Amino acid sequence: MPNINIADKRGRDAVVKAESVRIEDPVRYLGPRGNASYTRRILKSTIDHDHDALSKEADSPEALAVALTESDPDIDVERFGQFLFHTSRVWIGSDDEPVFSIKQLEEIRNPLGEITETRDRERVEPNVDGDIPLSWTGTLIPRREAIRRYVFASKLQIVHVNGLTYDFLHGMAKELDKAKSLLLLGAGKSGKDPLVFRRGSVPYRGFLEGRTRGDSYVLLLHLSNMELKLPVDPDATPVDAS
Amino acid sequence: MARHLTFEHAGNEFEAELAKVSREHLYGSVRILTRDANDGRCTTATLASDGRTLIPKGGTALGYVNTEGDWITRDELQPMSLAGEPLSEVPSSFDAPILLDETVDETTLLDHSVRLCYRLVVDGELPALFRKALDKDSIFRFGFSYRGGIGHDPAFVYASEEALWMLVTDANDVRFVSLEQAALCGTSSIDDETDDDSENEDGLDFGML
Repeated sequence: MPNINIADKRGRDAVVKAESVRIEDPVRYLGPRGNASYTRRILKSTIDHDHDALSKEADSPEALAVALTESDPDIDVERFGQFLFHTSRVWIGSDDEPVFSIKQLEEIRNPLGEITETRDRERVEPNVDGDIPLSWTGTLIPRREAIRRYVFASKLQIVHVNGLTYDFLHGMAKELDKAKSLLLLGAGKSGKDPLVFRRGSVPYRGFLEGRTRGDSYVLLLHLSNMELKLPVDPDATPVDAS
Repeated sequence: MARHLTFEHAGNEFEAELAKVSREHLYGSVRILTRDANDGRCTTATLASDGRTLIPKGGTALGYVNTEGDWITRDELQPMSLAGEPLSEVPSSFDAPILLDETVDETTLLDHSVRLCYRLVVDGELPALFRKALDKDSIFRFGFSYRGGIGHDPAFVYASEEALWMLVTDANDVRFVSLEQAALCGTSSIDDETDDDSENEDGLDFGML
């Protein structure tokens, strides 16, 4: 649950909490007799049993095929099928050995999938809980318009941490509820930067929505990194760059 | 090949083609390339807890076991709701017309997180009553399942000035809080992705994200 340093219309700021509103998977699976079931990660193969390793050992593809049918060199019956716990993710080189020093590049592609630039990887620093609070930009977008302009992929509920911040956030929610609008929040000195929650994570535009019901309130931070609009060429299919 | 959904509104049916719209379509994408000291290409692998066994991509699988650690096959599993009630399978939304009979307000839509965004391409005219409802800013909610399976995802159909949209979403648990309900512990859900840059006409640059 991240902290958020946020300022109101008057420029007063406070550090409050942002809670997840995601609902956990509503489906669970039971075993055949109604007992609980659990998922386990299982070993299927290791790097010294993959196609490249076996090909090196065999003289030819034909010899490998014969070995596969006669002696199952691709299967280690002692180990395959064992449960895996506490695994780590590592980088390996073309020799299948771990690599301890890497450099990363970003290959930029346009909407048609064409490479436009290659550069060193940039990792943006978090900016939601620093010395500079998220600023109240004053840009209000009516709810009706907001859902037709932006795709809100994620959201966080801003909540108070004590009595003082309750008054502070309730006041913001009340004002936004009255306006029936979402407020654009900006980060950084300029107050225009997108919001970054963790180093190198996706930057999002933040839109604050408020609702009140008596003494209770909802202050929702809607996060968007995409507009609801047609592509430049709606018929074009971009190259998958995943 | 694009697939078609059939919708039914006020007794009138119409077909629409699903055209997925994503960040890659609008702004392009960023691919991360990893190199070693000799500029050789690197890939990721899994290192087992023994510190020696390297597992390639695709070298692990997930399986279900019971409390004794015995294997359970997929067809032996019984899907249940969190309340403990058995869940039945639903058909794919492509198998039958989708009834558009529930409208919601903007706040309801804003309570959901959008997972997939589709442009609905209709060949010909929309039914007059449906067009009229869209012109009045109606937002239609229905349950959507691409392949069929356990449960539907909440989906919404509405129009902007540019197009007719269908958003497939995840519901969220948004609750009013009062003075006594100060912050509880939890986790945020901001996923890692990669992006690129482009310009936006009203000064809000989404491409830079």
